[in-house]
Amino acid sequence: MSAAALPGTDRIATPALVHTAQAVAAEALRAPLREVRARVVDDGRGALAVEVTSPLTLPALGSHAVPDEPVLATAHRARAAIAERFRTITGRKVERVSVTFSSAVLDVPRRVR
Amino acid sequence: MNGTNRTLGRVVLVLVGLVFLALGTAAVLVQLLPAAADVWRTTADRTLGGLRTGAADTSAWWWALGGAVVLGVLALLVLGSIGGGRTGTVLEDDGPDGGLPGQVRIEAAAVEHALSAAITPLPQVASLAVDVRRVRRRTAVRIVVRTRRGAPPRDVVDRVEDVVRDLDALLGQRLPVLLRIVRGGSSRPDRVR
Amino acid sequence: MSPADTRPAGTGSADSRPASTSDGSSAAPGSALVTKAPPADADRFLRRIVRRETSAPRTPTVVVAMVLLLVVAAAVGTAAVVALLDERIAGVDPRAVVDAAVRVPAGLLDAVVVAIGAVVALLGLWFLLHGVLPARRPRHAIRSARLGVVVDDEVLASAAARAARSATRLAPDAAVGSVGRRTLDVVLLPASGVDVAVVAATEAVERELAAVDAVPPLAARVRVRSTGRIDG
Repeated sequence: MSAAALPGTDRIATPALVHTAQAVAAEALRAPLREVRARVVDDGRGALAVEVTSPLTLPALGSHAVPDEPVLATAHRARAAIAERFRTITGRKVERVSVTFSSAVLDVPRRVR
Repeated sequence: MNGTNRTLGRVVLVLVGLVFLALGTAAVLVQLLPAAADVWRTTADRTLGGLRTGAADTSAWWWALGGAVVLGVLALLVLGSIGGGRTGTVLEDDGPDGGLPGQVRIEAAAVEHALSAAITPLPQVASLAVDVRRVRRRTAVRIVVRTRRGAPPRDVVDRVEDVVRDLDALLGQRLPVLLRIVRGGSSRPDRVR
Repeated sequence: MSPADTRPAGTGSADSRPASTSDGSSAAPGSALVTKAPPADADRFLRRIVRRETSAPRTPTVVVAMVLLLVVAAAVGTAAVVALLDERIAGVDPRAVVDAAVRVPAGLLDAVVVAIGAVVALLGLWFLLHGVLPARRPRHAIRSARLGVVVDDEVLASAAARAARSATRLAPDAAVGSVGRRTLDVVLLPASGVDVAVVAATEAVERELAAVDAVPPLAARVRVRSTGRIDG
C-alpha cells in the first residue's frame, strides 16, 4: 500500500510525520509511546533524517534476565526497522536514523497471544 | 570521584611549600643574624640591582612583570585543573559500516535509572545515589549506598556485583564502577513503602 | 559483519571537548565491538579510583596556595607596572621598596620582619606537609572481582558489632565496634552477672571480617568489659 504508486504529489504535514516516527520508534524500541520523542528533519540534501529520544527498555538488572544481545545491536536493528516502517507508512525515504536513550524503563513482557 | 589531577596538586603543594619555607626562614635569618645579613647584602645588589632607584636600565622591571604574569597564569591553570563532572553520554556507536547512517547514544541518565531501579529495592539498602562521572578522561560510574545499620557489607557488594554484571552484558562493555558504602542508616527497623 | 566503532563518550558539561575514547573489553557474542584495551588496564584504573577515594583530597589546600600565589603575582605585577611608568602608588615608589629590601636589616623592626617571616615559613611548612604526607580517611577498600568498593569504617564497625551480638544474644546496644587501619575492636558490654560467650563472638566477628575481605586486612579483637549494669 505505497502512496508512491499513485500519480500526484503526496504532501504529508510535518506533525503527522513526527507522530508517525514517534509511533514507529516506540514499537521498534518496545518503549512506552508517551515517553518517546521524535524529530524529523531534512538533512540538507533532500533526504529525511529521524532523531529519536527514548527510554531504554530493559529487564531488571541483577535478576539474570538480561537478553543475550547487547543493547547496541538491538538498537541498530531497531534503527533499520524504523526506517523501513516509516517508509512503508509514509512513502518517504529515511536516510538517517539516530536513537538516543535518555532514561530507562522496566521491560514489560509481551502478553502471549 | 572527579577529574582533578591529584598528582599535580601534590607536586604544586610541595614546590610552593618549599619556596615559602625557604623565603620565610631566609627573612628571619637575615633580620637576626649579621652573617646572614652580609650574605644577603652582597647577593641582593647583584640580583635585584636593576630594580633599584636610579638604575639606568629598566629591563629588570620588565622581567619582573613577565614573571608575575607567568606566575599568575600558572596559578590559574592549576585552579582550572580542579575538575569535576558528570557526564552526559555514556556510549556512542555508529553501527556497522554499510548499515543505515545514524548513531545510537546511551546517556548517563539511562544507566543511572537502570542501576537505581535495580539496587534500591535491595533489603540492605537504605538510600542510594548513582551518577556517571568523568575521571581522568574515562567514564566511570559511582554508586553510593547507605546501608541499614549493621548490615554486612559483603551482601551489598555481592548483590551490586550481580547487577553490574548484568549491566555489562547489556552494554556489551565493562564500565569502571565504584561502590561506596557509606555510614548512617535508617533507624526504623522496617521500611515503609 | 564489519567491525563497529564504539567509543564511550566522556563529554563534560562545562566544555565542548570531543568524546574521548575509553577502554573496556567486550566479548559479547554476536556483536563485533572493537576491544580497546585489555581488562588489566581497567583493573588498574579501578585501583587508582579506589586509592583516590581512600586518601584525603588536597584540593582546598591547593586552592589556598594558588590564591596566595595570585595575590603575590598581582602585587609584583602592579609594582612593575608602576615602576615602569615612573609613578607611585599611595606615595610609595616600588624602587624605594627594593632599596629598603636590599639594605635589610637596617631600618626595619626585628619583630615585624621575624613575625612575617615566621608566618610565611609556617605556611610553607603546612603546604609541604600536606603535599608529602599520605592522608588517610576512615575508610577501607573491599576486594571485589568486578567493582571498586570503598566502605566507611563506621559501617564495618557496626557490621562487626552486629555479628558479635547475634552470636551472644546480647541487647542491641551491648556491642560497640571501632575500626583502625589494621584492627577491628569489638567491646561487649553485658549486664552484670551475664556470661558472655566470647569465643563465639570472636568467631562470628572473624567470619564477618573474612567475608568482607578488607584491604588493608583487618584483624579482629573482641573483649568483654563489665559495665556494672543491672539490666541490658
